[in-house]
Amino acid sequence: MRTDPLDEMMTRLFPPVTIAPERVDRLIAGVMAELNSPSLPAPRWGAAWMLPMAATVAGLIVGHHLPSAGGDMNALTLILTSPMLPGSF
Amino acid sequence: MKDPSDDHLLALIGQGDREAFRRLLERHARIMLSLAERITGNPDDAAEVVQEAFLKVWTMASDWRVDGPAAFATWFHRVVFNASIDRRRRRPWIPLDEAPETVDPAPDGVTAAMLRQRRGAVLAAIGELPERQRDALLTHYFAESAGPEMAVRLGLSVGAVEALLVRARRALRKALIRRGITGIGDVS
Repeated sequence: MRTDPLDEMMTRLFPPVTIAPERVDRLIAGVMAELNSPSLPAPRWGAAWMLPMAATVAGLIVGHHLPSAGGDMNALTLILTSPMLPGSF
Repeated sequence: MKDPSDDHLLALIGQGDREAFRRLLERHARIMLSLAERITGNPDDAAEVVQEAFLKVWTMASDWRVDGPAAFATWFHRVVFNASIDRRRRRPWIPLDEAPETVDPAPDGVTAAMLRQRRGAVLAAIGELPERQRDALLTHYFAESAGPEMAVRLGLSVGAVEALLVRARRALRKALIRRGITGIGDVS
């Protein structure tokens, strides 16, 4: 089978490297050790969920108490703009 | 659970589970080191890049959305790729006697400079491609996966991946030709 010249060029420019298991182990140990480092930003355990959830609940309450249909719109706007909607990080 | 998915591990990591984090590390560390080293050309830089990327995952795991647009592995490839390119840019000059072994074990200065320039041009061209095409090329060239495994990573069927790769290769060729790199096949 004929090799794609682009693939050949990529292999030539970025030749595969062999990663020794010891290097992987060192990396894992280093990363795990860093978890105790005071300089590491604190993980946001659950906080990212709580904020938009609180905003959504607040919007629903406010919306429920507003006299017109505009109240529903307010709550809906909050829900639609909530960061809980699909994304990645 | 014997072999939890990345998403499941991320959910646990988001609650501070260190063992889940270790499992995620064990699953992806080698391939990410390989990707980073191929791009930075330096094992120490690669280790730093990958370590920083994993620590970012640790601090942000609770934000991960299972229904997001990309599988974790694909997203993480992108993160490590971009960080490796940044690292490469921050290290514009490596003394020849410190340069890692590449194609020719003893390239003269001109050859080394040309190789370096060409690598930079190719990485820049890949970086300019649409996200899906870039993900396909990164997975194809740097993640050592193909066919069904690649399809799973990209969340596509095998046929769709092949079609995406054809488009991505064509787009990369055109981008390279615009940068003066030729002899890399048909772009029609």
